[in-house]
Amino acid sequence: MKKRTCLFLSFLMAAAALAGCAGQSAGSAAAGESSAPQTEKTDQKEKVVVACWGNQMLDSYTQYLCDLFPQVEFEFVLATNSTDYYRFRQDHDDMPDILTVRRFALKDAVLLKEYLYDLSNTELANTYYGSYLDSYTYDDGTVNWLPTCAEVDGIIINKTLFDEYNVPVPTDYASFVAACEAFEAAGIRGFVSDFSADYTCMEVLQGASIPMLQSIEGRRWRQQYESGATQELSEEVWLPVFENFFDFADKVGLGAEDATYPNRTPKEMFTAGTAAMFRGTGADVISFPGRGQDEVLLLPYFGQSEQDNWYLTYPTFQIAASNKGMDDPEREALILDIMTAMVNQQGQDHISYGKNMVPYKKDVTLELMPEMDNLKPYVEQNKLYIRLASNEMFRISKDVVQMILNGEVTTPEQALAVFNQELAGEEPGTEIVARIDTGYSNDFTPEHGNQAASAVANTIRALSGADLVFMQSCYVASDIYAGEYSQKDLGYLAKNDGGWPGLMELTGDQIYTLVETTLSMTGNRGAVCNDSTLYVSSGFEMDITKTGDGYTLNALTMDGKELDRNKTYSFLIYGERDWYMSEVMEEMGVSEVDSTGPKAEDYLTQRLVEQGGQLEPPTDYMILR
Amino acid sequence: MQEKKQTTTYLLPVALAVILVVSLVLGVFFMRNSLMQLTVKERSSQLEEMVTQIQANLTSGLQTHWNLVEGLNNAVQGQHFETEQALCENIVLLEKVFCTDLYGSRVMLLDAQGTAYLRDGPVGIWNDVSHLVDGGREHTFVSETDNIDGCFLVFARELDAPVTMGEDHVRFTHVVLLKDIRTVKQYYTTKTYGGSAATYFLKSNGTLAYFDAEADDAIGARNVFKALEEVEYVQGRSFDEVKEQLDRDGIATADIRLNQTEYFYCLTSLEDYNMLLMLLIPADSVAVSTMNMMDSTIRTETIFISMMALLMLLAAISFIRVQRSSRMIRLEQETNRELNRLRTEAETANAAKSAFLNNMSHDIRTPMNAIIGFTNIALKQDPKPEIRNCLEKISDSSDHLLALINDVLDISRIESGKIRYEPAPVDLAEVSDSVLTIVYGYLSNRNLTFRTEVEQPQSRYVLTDAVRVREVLVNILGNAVKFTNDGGTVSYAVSYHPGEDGRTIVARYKISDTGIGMSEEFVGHIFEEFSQEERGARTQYKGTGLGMAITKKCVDLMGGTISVESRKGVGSTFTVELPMQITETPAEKKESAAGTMDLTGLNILMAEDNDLNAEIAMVQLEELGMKITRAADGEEVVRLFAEHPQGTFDLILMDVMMPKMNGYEATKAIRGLQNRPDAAAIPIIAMTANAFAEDVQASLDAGMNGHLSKPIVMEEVVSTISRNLRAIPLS
Repeated sequence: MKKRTCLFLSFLMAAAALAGCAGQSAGSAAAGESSAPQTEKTDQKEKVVVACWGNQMLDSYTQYLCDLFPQVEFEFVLATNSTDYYRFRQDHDDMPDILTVRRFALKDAVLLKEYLYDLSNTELANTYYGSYLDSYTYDDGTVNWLPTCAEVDGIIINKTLFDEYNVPVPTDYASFVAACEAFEAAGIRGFVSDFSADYTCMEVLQGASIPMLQSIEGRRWRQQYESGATQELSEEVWLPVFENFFDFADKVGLGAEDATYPNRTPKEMFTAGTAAMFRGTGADVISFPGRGQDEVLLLPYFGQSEQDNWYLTYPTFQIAASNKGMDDPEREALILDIMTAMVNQQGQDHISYGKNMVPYKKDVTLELMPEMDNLKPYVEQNKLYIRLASNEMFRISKDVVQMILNGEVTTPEQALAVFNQELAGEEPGTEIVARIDTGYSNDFTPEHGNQAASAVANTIRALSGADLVFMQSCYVASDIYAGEYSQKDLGYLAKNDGGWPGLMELTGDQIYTLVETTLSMTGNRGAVCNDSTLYVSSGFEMDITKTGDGYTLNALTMDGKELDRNKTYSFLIYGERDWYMSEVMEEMGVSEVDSTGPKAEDYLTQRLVEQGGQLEPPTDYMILR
Repeated sequence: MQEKKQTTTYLLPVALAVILVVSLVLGVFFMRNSLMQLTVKERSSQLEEMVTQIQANLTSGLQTHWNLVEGLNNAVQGQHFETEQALCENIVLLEKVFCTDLYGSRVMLLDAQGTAYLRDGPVGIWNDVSHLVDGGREHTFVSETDNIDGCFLVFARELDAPVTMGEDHVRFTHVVLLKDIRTVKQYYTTKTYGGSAATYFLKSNGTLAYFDAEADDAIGARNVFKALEEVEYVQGRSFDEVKEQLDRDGIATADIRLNQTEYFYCLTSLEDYNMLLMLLIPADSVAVSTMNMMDSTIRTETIFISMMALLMLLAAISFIRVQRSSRMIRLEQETNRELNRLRTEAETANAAKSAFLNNMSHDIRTPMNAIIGFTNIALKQDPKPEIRNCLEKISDSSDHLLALINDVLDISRIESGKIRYEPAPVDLAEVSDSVLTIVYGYLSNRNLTFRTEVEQPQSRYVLTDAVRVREVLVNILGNAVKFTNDGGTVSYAVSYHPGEDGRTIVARYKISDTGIGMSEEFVGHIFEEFSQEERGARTQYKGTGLGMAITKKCVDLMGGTISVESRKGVGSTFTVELPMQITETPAEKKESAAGTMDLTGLNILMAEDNDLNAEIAMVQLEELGMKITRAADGEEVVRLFAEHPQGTFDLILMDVMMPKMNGYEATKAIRGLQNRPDAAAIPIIAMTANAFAEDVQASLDAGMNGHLSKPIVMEEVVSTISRNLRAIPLS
């Protein structure tokens, strides 16, 4: 009797286990089999998922890693630039193997501590300057994150323009204001910036008051804030900061219009010679050299005296590893090897283009380009302010700065109060707004391509009205998990600052050119380096062959028939705008593009939240031979 | 059961011994472990004492620097310097006044943004300015930055009143004394461990701030706490326990293994300086003398306990031996008891066997008596030749069967000791004569040459058992006659030889024949029971196969020897040598065996319960002219005797085993009859199938006068009756 009971129970347990497996299987399917493949070996290659903080990494960095580790099957995803994105991934037990993020604060990152690998006693950590390493060290000595080289942020000036208008190059705040006034008098915008972007608002707010923020009082408050000891701005430190910003906005002539400028506007003004100065980075110095041949300089944020001038810096990105799978010594060694390659001299050369960044590591030397000569004494004097970059600091800085520029907040005291009020409030966008019934995996398979990306592309096509859609699949940053979503979570599916829509009219011939150009592209932020960075199409199919050194297009079809080369289609490209889109447009001979449409995350919101619908189902859009 | 008891007897001491040895081994193990733990404690304690001393020295040494910093604060606070150069000159002056060079120190001023000024000018934002922002006014930590070359112990103090500089009144908030950490080495190192101690200054989060040792960093980690979490702890501690102790006591020590080497580390907090000091020392350098002493103690105690264990073992073995000895005694006693029991059983069995033999003898003889009797009766009826032939064969077979029975019974009786050697004065000549008389009987119808060579003995009388001697010789001579074909020769030679002491002689009887002889193989088995050589026609030479065995046993009984030489087809020679003690006592004169007395008219009262036997006896006795009155049981015979007048009966033939009253009882009853003078005198002859000597004796003991064994042989009956009637006057 007892034996029979045991057998029965065993049967029940087995059945339950099978049911569990079945449920899990169904759940996995619903979740796009999210948790399965991260440690699997593909075709005897070790699979490693790398979440890229931005599409800059697609330029040459991902290709560099693929070349360096041919035994690894990398899966690159363009992550939302936030540590909170990784919290979202972890909530679905789907943490990437290697994490990168630019927006970083230990205050935010501590939430991921238990899921990340402790690097404190690795050779990798030993290559860092102690003082930098200290700022990444938790109270218990754990080090999860390590920085790559420092992006330098300051005020980019068109020296040639200054010379043309005989305006002295500023050396302090007063001369900066004087220069702005001089250019304004000449009908040229003295200083301009894209205050529609949260980081610009935050960086200018902080950059204008670095001496205050770097004072003993300012450092003390920051330490308390970052450790969680306080959740409000100190009046002692931050009231002067807002006073400075009010003064800055007033004297520079910032207004409501500035609050709407997107990222490109200041750069376009600068390259057009209609603006003398804009807030930018070392990368911008290279990308936007004034009117073409102008001499540009990257100057610091100005203080009351020259001694108070500071450059604002932040690591180009931080790097960490999931602790999943790290109990396997071979895999642990491989991941650490890859991470080392990501931050060593060669890796940092790919990040900084060799000349616009400052290293944090003892074993890395980065030469600065001539445009950044001004930076050198500041580096020597260590007058490099590292921005306070918690997630809420980005969000609230944008809110408050835009309120100031819009005249909604009129005094420093009011600004401080509003800031603190938002700090104390609930983070918006956390309530459940949508439910996805069917999950899709963003693993690439030769048979079905990237199903998650296909679902997103099909949804964009359905909503945008475009005949055809073409987007880089890695812009979909994770599996599409079945379940409930908050607005924030929806953003994590496909929210990358570098992704832009480009709606244009293209003939079939031009589409052939587009795809061929894309597949053969190198050294560009839209380049394809492996399967995971291939493009997804909606409305047409691609027949592609994988060769020893890349991919070649065989044919494009629509519903199985070859694409009509003469027919014109409304065509939406979703990808990097300044490098990729401009290059392919040039190749196609297209000049008109509409980039004002919604971004991918907006389409998802539209379908899932506003329409209460579901994503379009994925299609088999590719034959990969 | 016995086996179980025996197992238990051994199991207990063995188990005790095992438990004892195991206990001792465990004891040694635990003692060693305990001593090792004590050693570790002792070594840890010594190490902690040492580190506490170092901590005290270090704290004291550092305190003097705080005094210096206090002096600097007093000297510089609130001052204004017009230029950067003036400020730097003042730093030079301060260093000179406070003799900082002597202390290996430098003075540094920090402005509000963290820019560090040394005597040579500003060196940029000090990387470690973040250490000063926790709210305290004084800070001590280890600093190694890229701003300033070298590794320093920092003594930073917020100025009571800021120093200002220049027209902009750049504000200086802190004065800092940078103490070259190498110059405090005297405070944090010790020569106690032969220079093998490594010193670690750790930040409060366990990360390495400074390391100093002659050897390489054995831990080799930035996060020392994490490394200590992951190392192997020799005494089973964990880092959590160490940390707990550190938090509780301010100092903690542990024994770890790093790269196959055992180390002790001692952690102590420098609370006032927000730092930890750790010493890491190879275990073989910690408390060496204590270790040696402990080793010696452990060795000695191990030897002592081993000896104890050995003694215990020996004691256990001894105990087992004693136990075994006692057991042996008990075993012997038990064996004796068993032997007694077996003997009793044997005796009982023997008695049973005797009873069986008696019964068998009686029960076989009784029908044999009928067979032989009636056969003889029939033969006397002048039967037809065919019937006679049959009757003669029945008679021969009956004789053979009777001989077989007698032989079986004889050998059984010899083996069971019923037949004993009973020496009595014997006339040696008479023995030979009686033997020859019997042999002549055997030769009567044979055509054999019989040669005798009988030596006259010097001493006529000897002590021997004439019956057995005769039995031996008759057996051998009988065989010689039997196994020698007509025309052959049988020889009988007797010689006497003096014994060793002059009081004995050895009578040598040599009997030879020219018979069929025996094979060499059979000769080796001739004295075994039932041994008969296969001759193909066995019936030619009838025998029981027991005769020579009986003969050998009889010779053995008399202390003599018998040997045989034989060749098949040639003949055999038996030699018997019997020792006999010479005696002067003449042998009793034996009466002649059978009488020839006329028994006609005798009145015989015969008690016989078996009708057949009664009939045979009556027929045969009546043939001799006797008148027979039969009684069917013991009571009847007594009654008949008593009822008849005195002198009615001349003799009583008394069966023994009868219903109602056996022959012995009946005899006693008759002998005991009152008022019958003839009751005591009338000859009563046992006529019974109980044929053994003891039966004869029992009959005599019961009051009878003679004994006739069934089957009756009329010659013996006549002889016995005659002898007994002669012994008494006939009425």
